[in-house]
Amino acid sequence: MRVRLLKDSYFKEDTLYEDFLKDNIRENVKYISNEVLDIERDLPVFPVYMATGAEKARKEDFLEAFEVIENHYLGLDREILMSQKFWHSLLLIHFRDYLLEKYPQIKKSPSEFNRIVVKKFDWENYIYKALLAVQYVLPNTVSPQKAKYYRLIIDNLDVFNYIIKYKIFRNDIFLLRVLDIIDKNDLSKELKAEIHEMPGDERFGRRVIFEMNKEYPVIMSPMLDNALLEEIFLNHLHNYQKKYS
Amino acid sequence: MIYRKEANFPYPVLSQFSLDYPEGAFHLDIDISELGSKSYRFAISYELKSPFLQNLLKKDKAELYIVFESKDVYFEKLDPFKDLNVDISKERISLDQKTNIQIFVVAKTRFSMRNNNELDPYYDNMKKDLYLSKGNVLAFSNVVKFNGDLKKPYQLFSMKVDKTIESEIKIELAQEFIQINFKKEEYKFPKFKNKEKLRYSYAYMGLQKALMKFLYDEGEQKEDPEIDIEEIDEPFNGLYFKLYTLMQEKNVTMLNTENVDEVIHAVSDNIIDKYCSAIEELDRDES
Repeated sequence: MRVRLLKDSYFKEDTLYEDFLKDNIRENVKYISNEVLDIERDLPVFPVYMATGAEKARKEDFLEAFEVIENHYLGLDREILMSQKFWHSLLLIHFRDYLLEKYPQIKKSPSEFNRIVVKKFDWENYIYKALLAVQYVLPNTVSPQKAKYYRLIIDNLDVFNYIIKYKIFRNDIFLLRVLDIIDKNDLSKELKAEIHEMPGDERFGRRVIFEMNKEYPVIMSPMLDNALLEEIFLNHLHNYQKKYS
Repeated sequence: MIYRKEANFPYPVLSQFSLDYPEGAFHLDIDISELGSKSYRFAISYELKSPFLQNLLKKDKAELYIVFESKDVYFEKLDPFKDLNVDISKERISLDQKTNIQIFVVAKTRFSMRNNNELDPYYDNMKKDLYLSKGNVLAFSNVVKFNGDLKKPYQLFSMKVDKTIESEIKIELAQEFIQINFKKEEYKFPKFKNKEKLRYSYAYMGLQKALMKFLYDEGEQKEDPEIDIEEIDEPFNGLYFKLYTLMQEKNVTMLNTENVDEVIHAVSDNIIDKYCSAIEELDRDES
């Protein structure tokens, strides 16, 4: 598949939203550069926004995204997969019809368009989340385990988000170890629980990751073995539970 | 996972920010090459100037780790006494974005500092009671950086004459530079021998504009934006990355609408003072 890349200036064009709705991007020299990426396979569409809707549908969308990325995108150089311009080019040019059908709210306002289509490519972006999930799980697991970890990520999205939010924890080994601890001790519910006494939307899981971030590098948690990491993890959790419940 | 804060530790560490090991040093050098079309090879050479820590590594009481940080983190345990090449697939790491690399010595078991004769005398009385635990960092090296996509990593400004602009001067923030356009050639002071310094006033204006734009673009809230330089991810944009690196190197921790002038002072090495002495020099030459 030949991916046509956008010019660097696409972001600054005031008319980007309108032209997207009017299908006026794919042939427009205002947006399209001469650069192309020739990739020896198809790059199919997949769900790119899982923030709203029923829980069941969101989980299915995540699984679908994991599967498509695993089967069709993985193996491309990271230089491509981690590039915001690559993804925005795909979405604006190649995924347009799918996006408008799957997310009709895009037609309602530019802010929905910004949230779903030209979202910054960082830990809050759902493509980025799905991509890291697959890149972290797949090389480290074999088949039956793979499904388990995918499910653990989807069931513990809040903790997953906090792990990939902190740069020091954005790592495959650390993520899988934490998921193991959650699975072994059946902590999903406890970690998701809100701490009502604290301002903002604080949850026990977030505080545990926060505490480990504070301790780094006095305690280099990503490099610890499972047993010690588990001890430290549970210790932080219990401290918060003692204080707030 | 890269660590570059000038923080105090609850126990002695060997790092460029700490005086705990007065004679110690921990220096990292890296050469990168491509290994076929699928991987990168990182040839690592390091110097750990500390017999105490060397001995811990030898006795398997401590471990050596290398950490690569670009879009995310990759780390690997190193065998400290072998040839150190680390090969990483291009599926796992990209070098077009900014990459930082650092090595750490980490405690593997609990041990005492009692026999550590390399510590600052400050620790003389207390080191017999100092125990380090598994997972504690003992030493961290300098950070090796790669700015893959930057054409000119150390150039911040670009100045040129553009007769078509509607104002006398126009400051634009280009992909990688603060671009200062002048309507007339004379505004660049081409005839003066200290023209570089005379242009510092323009540089100040350029920095002010660039830092404000950086603040509004990268800050999270739109009203009274504030950026914690130690916490944010490395910016995507080339110019912002240069500003970010500069602020980090000069230990700027916070950028907000109130402290822009202080930040410029910290990153710019007294440019107003230099501008002023350039004018004085001109005056002296005339008289």
